[in-house]
Amino acid sequence: MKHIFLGALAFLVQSDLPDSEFVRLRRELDLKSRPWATIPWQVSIREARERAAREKKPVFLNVNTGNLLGVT
Amino acid sequence: MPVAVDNVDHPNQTAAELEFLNSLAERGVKTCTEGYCAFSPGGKLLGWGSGFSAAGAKEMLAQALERFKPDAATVGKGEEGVRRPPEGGLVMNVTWSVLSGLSESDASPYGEYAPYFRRALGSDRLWVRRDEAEALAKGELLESLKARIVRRHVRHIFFKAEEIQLALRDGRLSGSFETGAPPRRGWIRGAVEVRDGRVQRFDLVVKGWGDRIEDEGGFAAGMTTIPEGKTVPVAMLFTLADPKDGLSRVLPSALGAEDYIR
Repeated sequence: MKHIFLGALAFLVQSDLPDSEFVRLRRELDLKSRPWATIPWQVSIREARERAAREKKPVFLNVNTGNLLGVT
Repeated sequence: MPVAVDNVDHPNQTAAELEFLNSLAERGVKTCTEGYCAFSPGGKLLGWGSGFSAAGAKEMLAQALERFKPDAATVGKGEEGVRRPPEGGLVMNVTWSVLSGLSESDASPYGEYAPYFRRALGSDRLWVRRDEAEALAKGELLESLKARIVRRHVRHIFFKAEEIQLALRDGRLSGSFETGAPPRRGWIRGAVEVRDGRVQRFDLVVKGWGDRIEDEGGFAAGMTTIPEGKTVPVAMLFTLADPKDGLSRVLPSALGAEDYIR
């Protein structure tokens, strides 16, 4: 009886991240799950200007103390 | 054409780019520590300001589009000092988020933006050297890569973690760590898939208990909103970045560390 109890307890104690949770977190934490990350951001002023000139578009610049794309 | 730069620390900004930014409408970007602006490729300022409100940005963009006339961009060449990922290596997106345990009533220095910070997804990059990528393709996790993942990234978020274990076997990543007192277990799980001798998939999830990170710049995202003394569920994800994606070219936050890529 004691062995059955210990076996059941061992089964209930988590030993790994369950499949369903791994899949869920993989989906929720995906960078592209956030709308801001789907914008085609450039990180070089020079390249943004060159591409904007080719495509006949203005440049939209975001400046922050700490890059809004994830590093400071 | 959207572009984002750090006004204070932009390691890949060239002298020519800085000169251009400082020339914008005599004010230059250097006078502004945060906000949006729009300009033509040739450097004509079209719009400025609006803070970070969506409505303000939309109005500024609409005005900029009305004023815009296509022009040419004369750009300075030269990319001396520009840092790029290791040749033949890999770039991974690293993201993290607080999963639960935060309340709208928690005190916050972010004012009206507090809800956004609580839900924010932190974002960083991990660089992998060519030899480390080749080893991964053969089913081996080199100590140097393991150390970079653990010390430069996992430990940045789970800074109270003790003895972070991480191993790769038969395409499966696994590991664990403990945080807090009494200690609570955190879990690491992932997968590596290889085709034609190259890593085609790298997914690594880290889930555990995290504490508040003091970070004036807000880089730690939702971690900065955890109330003092509270521990909440947090998760991280490492996954292969698309090298064609502009976001993959943002430098890793720890790149300034001398031994980051060694």
